Amino acid sequence: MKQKKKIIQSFLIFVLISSCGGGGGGYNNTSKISNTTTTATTTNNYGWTPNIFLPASTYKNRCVNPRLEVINPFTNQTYLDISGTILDQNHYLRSFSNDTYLWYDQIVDVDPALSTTSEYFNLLKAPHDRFHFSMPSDEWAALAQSGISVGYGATWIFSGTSSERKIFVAYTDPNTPATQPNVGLKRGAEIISIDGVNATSDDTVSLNNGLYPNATGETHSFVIRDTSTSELRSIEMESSKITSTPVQKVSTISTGSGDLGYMLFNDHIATSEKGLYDAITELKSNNISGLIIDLRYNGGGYLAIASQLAYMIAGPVATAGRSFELTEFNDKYPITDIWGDPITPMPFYTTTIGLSTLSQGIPLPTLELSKVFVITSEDTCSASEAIINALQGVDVEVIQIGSTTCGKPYGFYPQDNCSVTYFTIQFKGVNAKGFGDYAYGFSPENEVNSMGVKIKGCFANDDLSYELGNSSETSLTKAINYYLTESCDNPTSLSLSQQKKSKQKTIKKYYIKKSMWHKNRIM
Amino acid sequence: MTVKILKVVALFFLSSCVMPDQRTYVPAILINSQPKATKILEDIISTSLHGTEITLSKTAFIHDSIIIIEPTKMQSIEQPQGIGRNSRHPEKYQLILDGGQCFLLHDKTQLTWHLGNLKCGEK
Repeated sequence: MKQKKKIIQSFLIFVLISSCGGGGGGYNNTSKISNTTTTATTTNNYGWTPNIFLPASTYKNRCVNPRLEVINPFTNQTYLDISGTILDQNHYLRSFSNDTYLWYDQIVDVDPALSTTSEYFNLLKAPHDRFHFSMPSDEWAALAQSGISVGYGATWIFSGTSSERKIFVAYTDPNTPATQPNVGLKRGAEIISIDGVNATSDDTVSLNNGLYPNATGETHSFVIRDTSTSELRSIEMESSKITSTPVQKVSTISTGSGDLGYMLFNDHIATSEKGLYDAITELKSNNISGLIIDLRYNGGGYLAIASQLAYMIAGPVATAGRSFELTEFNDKYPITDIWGDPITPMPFYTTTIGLSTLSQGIPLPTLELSKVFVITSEDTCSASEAIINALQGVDVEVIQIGSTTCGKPYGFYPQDNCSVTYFTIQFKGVNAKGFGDYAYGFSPENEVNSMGVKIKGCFANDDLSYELGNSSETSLTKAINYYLTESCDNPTSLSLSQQKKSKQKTIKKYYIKKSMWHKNRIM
Repeated sequence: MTVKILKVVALFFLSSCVMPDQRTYVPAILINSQPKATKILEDIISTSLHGTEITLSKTAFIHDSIIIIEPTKMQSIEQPQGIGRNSRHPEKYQLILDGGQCFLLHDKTQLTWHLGNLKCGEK
């Protein structure tokens, strides 16, 4: 019925538009456009009438460069591309965005004839949207073995831009070029120059080439300053296949008031299902009475992994009959998603689901905690934030140590059209209590000048003076202290505090000048 | 293009696509270090994914019979790090032994490739 109504509506709109311009084709005969058509060089049969939209299917797969007899790796079917124009491509994006974009009513309807397709896509968003991007579809389809990437095994963090830019090592993966004896890269080391190009240079191409090698066997030279010295040293690293370890440094910290578990969780990649399973199993066997999860560099990934971890923390009683996350689309889709399927909440997964080498259906270990500590930064994003929100939704108290998270309760279905995959926000996730309004992230309650949703905890800058998981590292110290005293004052050991003051090296980042998706890039 | 076609033809002869008896096969791993194994497996998996470039660890199938393939993160000025909230499922491949013969099994399609040039053992 709904479909039929849509077809009738579309037909009526089509008739309306077709008759707009008289006899010569709607587009070129509208006075508003005829004076300014400089970029759309192809002839077309479409007019542009503000706020009138044909279905996106009218224009889909009509491409300037159609892919003929090419297989779509996601569907195993040949792409349906046919010859089209820039205007077709732009009209598709206009209609698709109007139909599915979460904030479609905040898009200013601009003439699609006046821009290239990539330029036009960038216009199809709300002013506050920081997560709007596209990429070539073949790059989006690129695959690697889970946990494998090309690089050195070092994760970089940045502060400042251009002349104020500083590049540091956030952490390294074991048994990688970064940790070889002749390199010895450690957390907190500052990168001064790469291949002779200073870190503050505007030559971001050279810097990126050195930081993010594209292939194995590339050798790049670096001048670095280790945390422990003011002296510089030169190193060379050769890129290779890197096996990342998404769950690291699982440990138990004795506090005198029960044992605290700690784990560094860096990435929601598929292998983390097993990593988290093993970590929680170990911590459970250690009978911990509290847990600190270090999410400060975890930008997200598989939401199912986040659901599993939240379940392992909260346990079956707290999560019984409740959802990990519900999905809300724009008001055109109150009951179904954009594909017409019923909107179903994501459950708390209670078993493995086959994302990793573990078989499907293995019951997950649970800690059944009523309180959990999370260490965060502005790199804590998306699926990581969903863990925080979901736990709060089932009344598990979350204590936040660190700084404001990135603020991304949103998601999208990547959409291919004409060799480009578009990522435009289509839904937001809300927890079991219906809350999902954290567009500016979560902030510890004592962080000043932040717009995030305030939750209990303590502000802390990222302390690069110590390895992650070291109980002297500022965020971990504060988490332990809060566990013991429920306050942000006075670290547990005065002597430790005094010692740290003299050598502490913290990083205060300059937050989001560009899209969140570029947060780990040089800007 | 020609190279791609030759690759596909070569793979066809190297590893014919057959269906082993599900009742009899067992999980397998590669025996010893086989320098060419990674390349052979990368080519087969890439072909099964319609030419998508993939990267395998040198230790793929050495310790475990299963590997998971998922999108790599893009890292450059122009590309995002990742989508942050991923609902896609990764591709899963398993090395199996059937009647003493070594096969690669693609979990999603249940297609298998006979790995005549590789030595496998029961995991």
